[in-house]
Amino acid sequence: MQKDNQEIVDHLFREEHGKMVSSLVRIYGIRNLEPIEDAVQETFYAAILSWRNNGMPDNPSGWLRRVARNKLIDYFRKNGRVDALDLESFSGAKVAAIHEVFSDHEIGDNQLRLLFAICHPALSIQDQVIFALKTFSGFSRREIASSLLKNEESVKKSLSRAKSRILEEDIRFEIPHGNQLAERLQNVHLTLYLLFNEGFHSAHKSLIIRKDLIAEAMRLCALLKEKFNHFDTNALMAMMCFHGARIEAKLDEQNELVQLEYQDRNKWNYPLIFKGHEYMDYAVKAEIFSRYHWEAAIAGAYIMAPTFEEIDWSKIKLYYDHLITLVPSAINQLNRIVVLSQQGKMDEAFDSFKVLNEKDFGEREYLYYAVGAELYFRNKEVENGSQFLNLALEKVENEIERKLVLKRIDEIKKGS
Amino acid sequence: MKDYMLIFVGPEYGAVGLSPEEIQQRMGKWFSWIDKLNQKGVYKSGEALHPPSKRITSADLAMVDGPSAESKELVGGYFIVQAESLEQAIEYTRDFPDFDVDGVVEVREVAVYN
Repeated sequence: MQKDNQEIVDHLFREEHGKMVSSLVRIYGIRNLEPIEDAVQETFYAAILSWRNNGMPDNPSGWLRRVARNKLIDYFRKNGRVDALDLESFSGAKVAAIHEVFSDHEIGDNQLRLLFAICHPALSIQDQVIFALKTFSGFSRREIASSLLKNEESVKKSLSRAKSRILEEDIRFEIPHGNQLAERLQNVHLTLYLLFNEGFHSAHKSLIIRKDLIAEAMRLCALLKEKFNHFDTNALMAMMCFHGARIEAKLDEQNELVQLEYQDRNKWNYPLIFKGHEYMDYAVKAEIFSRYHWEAAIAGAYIMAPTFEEIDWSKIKLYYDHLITLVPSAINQLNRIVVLSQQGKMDEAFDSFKVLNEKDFGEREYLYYAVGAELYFRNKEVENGSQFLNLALEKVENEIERKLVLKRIDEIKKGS
Repeated sequence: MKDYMLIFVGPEYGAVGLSPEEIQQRMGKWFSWIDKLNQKGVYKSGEALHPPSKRITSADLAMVDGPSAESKELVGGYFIVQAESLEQAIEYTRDFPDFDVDGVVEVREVAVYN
């Protein structure tokens, strides 16, 4: 008889993947990323086979790290790659060094080194996001493709492009210093921000996948905050908390998108909101506010209102003004227009709307039409509104948002 | 009660390409299956088998390769469980976690002659 298996920590394997890969990269160099990832992967397969029959080891993380290291050493031996092990390949010094990089305080630093290497400017921002999902979270190509709504082939290309860039550019596995650090930190923030947004804004049909992306972005951001405690990192973390707190309320039982106005506030994660306020209290001590400050302030203003009717639109409009001076993107402009219309400033809303170009929205073009439709309806221009709503339906790309547009069309028909 | 061997046949996990998260979820399923068998008091033992498989065909150790790790024919491990009948032993396999990755279970009664 074997002992009862205790619950294994949530996401232990995913977290260990990032920890082991970054620690092994620290020893064997980023050039050996591929065999390292293979060894780590095989370790998990070994775990399932061994643990299912023998029960969990007392220290699962220690077991995984030991096995991964041995598998990698085996690989280098078999392939005659003693060079990868340095001159004193199997000497006591090396073994001691290996123990050191696997110690807990070193692991955090190693993960950050890897994160900074991934966020090197030689890699496109999209490749950075994909690469981070692969190396940190061990997402399979299939999982990445499905989370980011891309096809598997383009994910594969993106990964191999990223890997060859690392070799070509001889990207260092280290945290940059001085000015370089500030620059790279911005890249890291943006990558984590995009990772988070993929989870929060993408209308992916699986809530589980969305939550996974959100959790990963928040985990890495927390790690970054722990190390540098930069004001912008705190602001980004606050934004993630405020948005992340609402994820359960954003989809209903039928997997349909619920707009803020109709969300069940009992489903909001209040501890996370409080956490967000803590980060924000610190973030606002900065002399210069980043885009994340304003985005966190906006997200915070929405959830601080006790009801939808009590939302302080003028405050939010002010935040958007600031955000747009930093990031004048079409989507930010559009969001600001929504706020203007909530304030009843229809002339100003229309003026701003008319200078927007629908082509600037890329795959979110439907949003342009959907917001335009609402402006017309509010102005009692039903015909124009319906026309825009139909265009929104034409352009909408995913199922969940399509349902939302269809529902609106239905409401308008019933209303007239 | 008689002993039955549940033999797990199917591709190796590596050939299926699972992510760490998926492996962990799968492991959770194995754990709860074994826990269930333990609660019934019918789980006796089990082992996993490594993939390189050789079939020895004569006394001079001539051999052929067994099924590869990718094939759906590879024996990956076994449990010994106790059951009143073949039907009951088959019933246990309801919770076998690997049906979705083309795994199958072969159920065999352990022969006892006395």
